[in-house]
Formats: sequence, structure tokens, C-alpha cells
Amino acid sequence: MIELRSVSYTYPSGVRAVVDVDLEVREGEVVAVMGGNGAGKTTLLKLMVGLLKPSAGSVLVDGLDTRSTPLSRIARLVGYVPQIADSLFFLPTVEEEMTYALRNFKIENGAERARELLRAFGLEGTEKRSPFTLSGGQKKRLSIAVVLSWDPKYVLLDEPTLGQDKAGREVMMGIVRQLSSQGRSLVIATHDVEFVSELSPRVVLMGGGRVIADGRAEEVLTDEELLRKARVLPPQSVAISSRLERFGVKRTPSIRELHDQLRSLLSRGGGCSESGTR
Amino acid sequence: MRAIEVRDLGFRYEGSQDWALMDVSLEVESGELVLVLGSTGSGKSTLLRCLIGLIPHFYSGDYRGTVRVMGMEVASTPVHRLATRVGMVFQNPETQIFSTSVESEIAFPLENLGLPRDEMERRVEWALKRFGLEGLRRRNPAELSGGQKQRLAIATVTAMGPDVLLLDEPTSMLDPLSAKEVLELVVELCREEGKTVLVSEHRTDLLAPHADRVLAFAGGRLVYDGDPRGFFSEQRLSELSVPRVVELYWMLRSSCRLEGPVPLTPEELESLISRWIGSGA
Repeated sequence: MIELRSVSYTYPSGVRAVVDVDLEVREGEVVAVMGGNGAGKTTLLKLMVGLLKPSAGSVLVDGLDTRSTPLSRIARLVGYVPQIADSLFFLPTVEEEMTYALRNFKIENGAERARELLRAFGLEGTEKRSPFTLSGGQKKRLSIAVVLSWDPKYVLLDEPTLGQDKAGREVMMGIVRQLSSQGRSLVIATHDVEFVSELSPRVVLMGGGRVIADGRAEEVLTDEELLRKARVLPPQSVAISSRLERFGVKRTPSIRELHDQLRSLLSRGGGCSESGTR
Repeated sequence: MRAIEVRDLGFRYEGSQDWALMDVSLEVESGELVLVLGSTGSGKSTLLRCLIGLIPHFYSGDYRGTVRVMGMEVASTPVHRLATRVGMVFQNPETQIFSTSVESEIAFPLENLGLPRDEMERRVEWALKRFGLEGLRRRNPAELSGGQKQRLAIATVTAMGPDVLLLDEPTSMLDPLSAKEVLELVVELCREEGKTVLVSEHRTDLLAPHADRVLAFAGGRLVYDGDPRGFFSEQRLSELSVPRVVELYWMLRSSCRLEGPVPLTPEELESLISRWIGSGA
């Protein structure tokens, strides 16, 4: 478990990025941290991996306090994938990026593991290339593969879909689902509300460095006033379903659920066959 | 009047095997709001670069065909002359902001145009007011939020008085609410200031209801040129995100044989469903 106990963080410039946050990330859980630019999402992730130490309060990873535990020990448990993949790379080839941490953590069969991950992420054949020559989507996948190389228990993803087109987002959705099905804990900082609607995880909403809501996606993402406070637009399905409330339609962030509701509404009016499929 | 005229345009970046754009011909009338769609590598950014003159003046490669913007042939017009009639806003505002105050950021290109001092001041004041930046005039742009930075980038380009504005995924780095605000501004620039606007944007739900035209690209070719409703009435390009209301309409059309024109807003879907139930079809 990652535990934040009354955690605040103030940057040397005086900006209070995280204010008095209490939060637990349990094993196997998928948590989306949402909020506008400057809400404190990235700072929160950096606190969880020990890159930043809290100005007040404490962060515990499986009981280890990030202030008194060597960073390498925390990093073995928590993998952090930054928003800009480039900031993670520093070696001349993809292959070396993949095996660097494995050597440092003294993990056996590293080369084989690296090959498997590259295959799983569609990066075969790039081994000898410089990471900086890869496409945007490839870099993003490599940054996740690098972090997974040492098999961390918790994976933190910062804006995994930023700047990606539909295909890139679908690949990312597949990766996230797979990691979650392997029982890994995931914390995803994002303002991509459509991505979160599809994933339907636990949602932690941040505004001004504070946690202003924490609950299931169906609850948090249908509360339009709360979302506005966090500078997040409601999912399009919520905007659509709230427009259809007079027909007895319930608000939902899920496009599939909305479709099912409308199908049964239209079939009551004799508008469509029950057996119809999409 | 015709703002943009592209004839048989093709471009291949130096060192690349493939043509980024091929056989593209299109025209845009003055004052139109055009939504440019396409996935990564479809050629849409290349088109915008051809319209602003970055291609062929700064990117080298094979160039074919002709591009005219506000009557000027782009390939044979110096960039500084093009810059008075056509402006571009990029994905990441960080790449185009460099001054130490909001005010001087807007003034800098005007100085370069050699405008008289009073005209310059008039335009800076207009832009600060028009884009809601008055309260931020002495702030360092580096300290602004992403949405404020993008607004500043748009203000700076617009203050130069271009007739044509090109925006290449202007909201992809912004949070959803800032994105909505920036896109509302883009629509106003067209409707209220009479600018011709071409914008490539993945938040199609926010722009499709306002756009006059859709230009869709795939594999370097122009694959659709027409009104937004026509574009979204069929599943044309599976690689593009469409507004959820459109997605829902397609689902209902196949599961319930829902008929009628494709809705582009929740309000339009509401009245479609209301009519469908009312008619007891």
C-alpha cells in the first residue's frame, strides 16, 4: 500500500502544490488522479515515488517512509513514467535503456525479460536505435517498458494519453488493462476524461493541491459541479445523458451504458427490436 | 473572396520515402471556419505548414503544385510578407512564447512589422482586452497557466492582423476546461472578427457543431471536403475520434434502426429521440 498522511508539498518558489492530502493506494487498485493544469497531480506522483519528499506529513510505501528510505529501495517498488518520455532516456540505445535498471537492481535473466517486454510493446527491431529517434507513440511505450523491466509493484503514469491520437490511446488502454489484470497497482494522473470514463477506475479529483473528491468513476464523473471546481469537463456521455433525463435516462459516464438505456427506451416506444445489436 | 487556393499540392520531406501530401486541391472562402481532421501522419500538419510558408521556405523536400493564400503565391512570397496576412498557433504554446512580459510578447512582432508607435499601442491594448489578458499584462508568460499561455499565443498572432489563422491542435496540452475556452475563442475570431480559420483538433465534439467545413486527411490525401454533418453521417475514418453523440447515433442506428440526420450536439440528439418516440415509429 502507498499511504499519504496529511501530506503537503511547497516548491522552493513558494507554490503550494499539494496541501494536506490523505490518500491510500491499495494493492491491485487502479486510481485516476484528475484535475486541471496546476492541480497538483504530477507533484502527487513524484511524492509517491520519493522524487520529492513531503514538506509536511509522511509518505509510506509498503510501510517504508520515503524520507528515511533510500530512493533506490522505493523505486524498486514504485515505477514512475513521466509525462514527457524523453526525460527518462539517457543511454545511446533502446537495448541499454531496457537493461540498465535490471543490472542496477541485480535482476537475473534481465536480457530475456527486456526482449519479452519489447516484443509485448511492439518495439522489436528498435533495440539498436537511439530512443530519441523513435516516434512519439513508440517513446511513450518504451518509457513504460523501461519502468516495467524491474517489475515494480506500483506503476505511476503521468498523462499517458497526452498528445496521442485515437490509435495511440487505444494501445494505452490495452496496456493499462493488462497491467491491472496482472494485479499491479496503477496510479494515472490525467485530465483525459473520456479515457477515464472507459476505464472506470477509482477517481481522485484534485483542485488547488487538495483532494476534493474520491470515489467510483460513476459517482465522481457524473457530478458536474464538482468537476467544474476541478477544471474538468464532464465526460461527453454525462453531458448527453443529463440532457435526456426527462425521458428517464440516468446519468452515466459510459457510452455503452447510455446506449443500452436508450435502446430500451426506444424499444418501449416500439422504435427498435430488442434483438438488435450494435 | 477566396482566402486559400491549393492546386495539386504534393510535398515529400527531405530524406523521406513517402509523400506527406499528395494531389491535394482545395479552396477556402474568406470567413470560413474549417475543421481539419486526420490521425498522426495523415498530412494535416504538413498542409498547415504549406499554408503559412514554413514549407517550402524552411523545410526542404520535393514540392509540387501551387498554394495561394490571400492572393499571394506562398512559394514565391517572402515569409515576412506572408506573416502580415496569415498567422499560425502551434500545439505547445511554450514553443512560440519567449518574452518577459505579456505586453512585450504581443508587441514584439508588431515592432518587427515596423508599425508606428501609436498603432502598435492601439493593437496591444486591443489584444489585451479582446483576449482577457489585461490583468496579466506585466506578468512573465512563463508563470502563466497552460490555457493562459495559449490565449497569449493566439492574441500575439491575431494582433498582427492576419486574415487567415491556422491552429495546429491548439488544445492538446491543455486541461479540458481551458481547451473549451480556447476553442470558444477560436469560434469567436471567425464569427466576430471575420477571420478565416483552419484548425486541426481532436476535440471534435467542441468544434463540429460550429464548423462550416471539414477537411479530412488520410495517408497524405484529402479524403473528405464538405460540411461536418455529411462527414459524421457515415463511419468514414476509423482512426479518428468522433463526438460521442455521433458514436451513440451510429450505435442506435444499427441496434434500433434510428433514422434522421446525424446529431452534432446533445440538444440535437434530444430532439431526434423526442421525435422518434413521439412518432411511435
